[in-house]
Amino acid sequence: MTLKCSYFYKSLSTYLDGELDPQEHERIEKHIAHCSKCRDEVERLKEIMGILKGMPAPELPTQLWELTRRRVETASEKTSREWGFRIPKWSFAPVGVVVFALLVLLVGSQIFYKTEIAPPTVDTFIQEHILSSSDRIMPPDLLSELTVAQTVQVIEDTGSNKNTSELDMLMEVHYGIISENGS
Amino acid sequence: MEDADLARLCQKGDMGAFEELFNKHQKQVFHISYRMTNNREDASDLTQEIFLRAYQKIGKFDSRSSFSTWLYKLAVNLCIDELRKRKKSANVLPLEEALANADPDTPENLAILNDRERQVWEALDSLKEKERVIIILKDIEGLSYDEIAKVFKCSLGRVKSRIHEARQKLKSVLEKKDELWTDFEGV
Repeated sequence: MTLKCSYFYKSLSTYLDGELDPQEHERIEKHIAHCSKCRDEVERLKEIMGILKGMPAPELPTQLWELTRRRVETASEKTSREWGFRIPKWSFAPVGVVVFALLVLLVGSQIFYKTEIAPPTVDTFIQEHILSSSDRIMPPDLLSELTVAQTVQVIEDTGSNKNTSELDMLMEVHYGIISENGS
Repeated sequence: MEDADLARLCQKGDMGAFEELFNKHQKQVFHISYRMTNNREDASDLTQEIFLRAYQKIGKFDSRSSFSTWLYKLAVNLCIDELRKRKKSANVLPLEEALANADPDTPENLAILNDRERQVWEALDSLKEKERVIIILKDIEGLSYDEIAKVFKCSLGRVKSRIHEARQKLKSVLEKKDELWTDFEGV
């Protein structure tokens, strides 16, 4: 096979189907007029294609429609039994999309609310301030159980408060409590 | 009535429209199934399954496109799936057995009395599913390049090369089988 042949070789099938543009078609015709190998190749393909095209068509089975209709009805009845009424199967698609969207919204909102940090209450704020101005370490769960006054008491009892004046001021502003020191 | 109008009616649940679509396309769907399976019973079963799927999926069909192409795509996919399933379960009916079981009076069985036709039939049977189906669609059922491109959702260029490759494969199987095909000197 020459270089020229291999160039045309891939187009021979398309040439036989008449799907080449007129210029390319003409070039192949000119080539095969002079090249016996490519001419043989074309003839071989033509014969195979001819046999395939001439294969007798099988006869249709009898009652094919009846069998198909029965199969369609059985499938529809099965769907009806499962759902209580007749719904074409394809109509589930939009319902599925809506259910999925609702699920995404629900899960998304749960995640959003869970991750949102609740703003601190005034009590928590003061308690944290008191603790930060002392060297007292208090577990968070214990802190949440104590009131502001109890927290102050704990710090004062242990004598570890380092900034009593600031503490007094905060107590007075938020609770109207004036300590013995501040009075 | 046009296919698109029938399909629209069918989407509304009109069984009469579905029957009309069935009557228009059953022949080609059965032929494709038969060429793929080499068995009338299997082809009949596949044809029923293909139309059942078409009925169930008709809601997804866009009536601006060609119904026949959409249906052939369903048919091709189901036939390929079926053949792959059979291969996995090693339940492939050899061609010889299929021919032995065939009704001797059917025209397809008479055809195989011709040696060359028989060889082509056997060679076609030995191709991979995707090669076989493209030969069936183009050379037996006579679909255009454009229709095949739509069935396989690929470009015209790809269709050309797939047809070329499948025919070359078929030819090389035939050449290996018999010197008759190698020493060809024209018809």
